[in-house]
Amino acid sequence: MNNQEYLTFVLGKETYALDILQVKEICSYEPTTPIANAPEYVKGVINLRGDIVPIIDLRVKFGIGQACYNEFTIVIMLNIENRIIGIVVDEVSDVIHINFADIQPAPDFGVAFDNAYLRGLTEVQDNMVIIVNINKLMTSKDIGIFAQMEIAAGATT
Amino acid sequence: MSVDLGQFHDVFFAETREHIQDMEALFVSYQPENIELESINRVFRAAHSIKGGSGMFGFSALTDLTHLMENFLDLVRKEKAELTSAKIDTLLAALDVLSVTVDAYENNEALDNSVISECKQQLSHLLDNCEHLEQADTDFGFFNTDDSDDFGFFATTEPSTDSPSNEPHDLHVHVATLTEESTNISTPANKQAMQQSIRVNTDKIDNLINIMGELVIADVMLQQVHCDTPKEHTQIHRALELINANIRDMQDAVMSMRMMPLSFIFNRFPRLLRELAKELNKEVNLDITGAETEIDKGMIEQLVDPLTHLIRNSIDHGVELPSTREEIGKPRSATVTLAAQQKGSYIYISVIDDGMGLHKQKILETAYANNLIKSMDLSDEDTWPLILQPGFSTATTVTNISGRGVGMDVVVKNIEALGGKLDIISESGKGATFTIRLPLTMAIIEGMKVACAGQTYIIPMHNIVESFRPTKEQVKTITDDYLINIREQYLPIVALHDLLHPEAYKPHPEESIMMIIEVGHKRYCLHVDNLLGQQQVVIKSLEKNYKAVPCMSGATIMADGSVAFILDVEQLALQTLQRTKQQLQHEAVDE
Repeated sequence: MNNQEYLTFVLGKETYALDILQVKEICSYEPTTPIANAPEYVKGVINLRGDIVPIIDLRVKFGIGQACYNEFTIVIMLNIENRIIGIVVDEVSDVIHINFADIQPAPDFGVAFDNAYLRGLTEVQDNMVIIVNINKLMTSKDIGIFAQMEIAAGATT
Repeated sequence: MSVDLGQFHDVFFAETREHIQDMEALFVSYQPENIELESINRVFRAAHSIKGGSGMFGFSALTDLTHLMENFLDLVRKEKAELTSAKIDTLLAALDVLSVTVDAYENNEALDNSVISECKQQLSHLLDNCEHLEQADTDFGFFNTDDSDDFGFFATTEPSTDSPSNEPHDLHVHVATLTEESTNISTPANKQAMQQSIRVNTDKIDNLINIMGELVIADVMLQQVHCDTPKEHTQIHRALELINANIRDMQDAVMSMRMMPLSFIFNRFPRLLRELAKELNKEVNLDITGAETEIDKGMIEQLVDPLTHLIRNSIDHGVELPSTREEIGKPRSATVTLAAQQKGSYIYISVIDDGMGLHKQKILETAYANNLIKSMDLSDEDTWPLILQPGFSTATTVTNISGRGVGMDVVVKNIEALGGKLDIISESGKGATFTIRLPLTMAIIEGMKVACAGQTYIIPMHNIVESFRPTKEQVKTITDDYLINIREQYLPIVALHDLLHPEAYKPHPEESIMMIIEVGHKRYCLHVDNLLGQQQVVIKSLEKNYKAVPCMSGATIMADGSVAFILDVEQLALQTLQRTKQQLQHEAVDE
C-alpha cells in the first residue's frame, strides 16, 4: 500500500505526477466546441465515444508555460468522482512507482499550484517530480466544475 | 439450501401495484345491474396473487388484508353477497390502505397499524353481514363456499377458469397487457389476445437506448459519406441505404421498448371522477378513448398531475349541476372524455367536457382587472390562454377542488417541461376541450441547426414557428434595440450573439435570419447568422461530466463527430430580459 503507480506528465518545464488509478485514457488533442461564457481555461467539450467531456487546460489556469495546441499536445482523460474530465498537458512521460517514504512535503510557495492540491515532491532519476492530488484539484472551487449549486444559484439571481 | 428472497421483492412490489390498480379499475367500472362474473374473478385473482406473494415474503399485513378481501369477493363471486356501491367504497378504501402498506414495506418504514386494523375491521364487517345472509339461505353451513368444482380446502386457490400459463405466482414472466387492463373489462373471448411480456430492468433499456443514440449518430456520419461517394460505387450506395433503413427501423423498435400505454395512468381517473362527482353532486360519465396510445415511460408519470388538474377543472367549472343541465335541455349526466391519439411525431391527449364552456367575458374582465391585458377586445384564441397565467382564477367560490388560481400555470409548466403544449378550445354552452400535445420521445428530437459566430447550435423544431430574412421595413428601432414587425405584430429580438458571443461581429438584422420562437404562449424573434438545415439529434446531458450551462439544455453529436449545443429557448429570453433590466439600471445610475 505504501508503493503506488503514478503517471508523470509535463506542463511547461516541470514534471508532474498523478495517481494512475484516476486515468481513464490518454488521447491526442482535438479541437473542442467552446462553451459560451465559460472561463478561458475551460477549452470546451469534445465527444469521447458518445460522452460529452469537458477539456480543461491547466496551463492556462495556472499560467504555466505556453498554451499551444499542436499534433503533440496530449489530453489525459481522468475519472473524477464518476465523471470524465480531460486535462491538456504538453507531454506524457512515464509510469513510475513512488514509495510513500520518498515523498517530501511540498513547499509553501515556488510551485504554480496551491500546495493544498499537492501531495508532495519526490525525485526520479535526479529530476524533481511534483505529485498532484488531482482529485482535490479538479473538484476544487478554483476549477469550478463541481461547484454546480453555487454557480447555478449565481446565474439565476 | 436457503434462497435469498430479497431479490424478488422489487418484482413483488411492482406486481402488487399493478394488481391494486387493476382491482381499482374493475371496482370503479363495476355496475350492479350488469354483473360480469369474469370481472369479479379477475379482482379475486388479483387479491389472491397479492396474498400468495405477501405470504411468501412474510408481509403479513398485506396477507391479512387481502385474505379478508378475497373471502368477501369469493362470496360475491358465488352470488352469496351483493356488491353495492357502499361496499365498493369500503373495498376502494381497503385498496388505498394496501397501497400505503406496500409503500411502507418497500421503503422499510413502520406500518400504520391503526389504519390497517381499522381497515380489517371494516372488511370483517362486510363479511359478517354476508355470513348472516348466507346462513339464512344455504343449508350447508360448513361447506357453504364450495359449490364450485373445487373442494372446501381449496376455496382460496386459483379459480379453475384460469389457464396454467396465467399463474400470477410466476415472478418473472407475467401474462398481461396493460391495454387490456384498461377500463374495458375484458371478456374471456379476448383473453387470448393477451401478449406475453417479460420484465426487464429499466437500466438495461436505457443502456440500449444510449447505444441506439450512438448508432443514430454513426448513421448520420455514414450518410455524409454516402453523399460524398462517387455515384459509380453502386454497391456502397446500396449497402449504405440498407443500413440507414435498418437503423431507422431499429430506432423505432428500441424506442418503443420505453413506451407504455396511457391506460397505465388513465385507469386512475375513473375513481377520481367518481369521487369528485359525488362530492360536487354532479353526474358525470367518463369516456376514455385511445388508452392504448403509447408514450415514453419518462413522461407518463409527469402527466398524472396535469391531467388530474384538467379533469378536476372540467368537473368543477365546466360541468353544470344535473338540474341545470335538464333545464337547458342537456342530458342529466355530463360526459367528460379523456382521449389520446398519436399523429405524426406527436401525442395528443384531450380532456373534453360537454359543460358550459369557458366564460369569455368573465375571463376578459378578470384579466383586465389584473392588468394582464390592455383591451377587452380579444379573439377567442387570444382569450383562452389568459387562464394559464399565474394567479388567474375566475371561480366565484373557492372550493377545495379548484379555484385558487394556482394550478393552470403549473399545469402549463409541467407540460412544457416535457416539451409539450396546451391548447384550449371552448364553445359557450357546449363545452371545452383542453389538448396536451407532447413529442413522442424526449431522447431524440428534431432540431434545426443554426450558425452564430462560426459555431453551430441546435434549436428544437417544436419551438420554431417560422424563419425569415427581415426586410428593412420590418426592422424598427426603439432607442438602441430592434423590434421586428411581422403581420402587424411587434416581436422583441433575442440576439444569440449578445448572449453567447458578445465579442464576435454581429450582423445587422437584414443580413441575417430571424426565427420566430414560441415558448408557452409567448413569442420572440431569435437573431442568428444563418440556418444550416434540419437534423435528428440525440440529446446528451452536459451535467454528466460537466455542469449545467446557462441557455443550453444539452448537447448533441454532429455528423462529423463534433459536439453542438442544444439551446434552451426559454432561458435565452429570460437572460435577455435580465440583461435589458441591468442595462436600464446602469443607465439610471450613470444619469
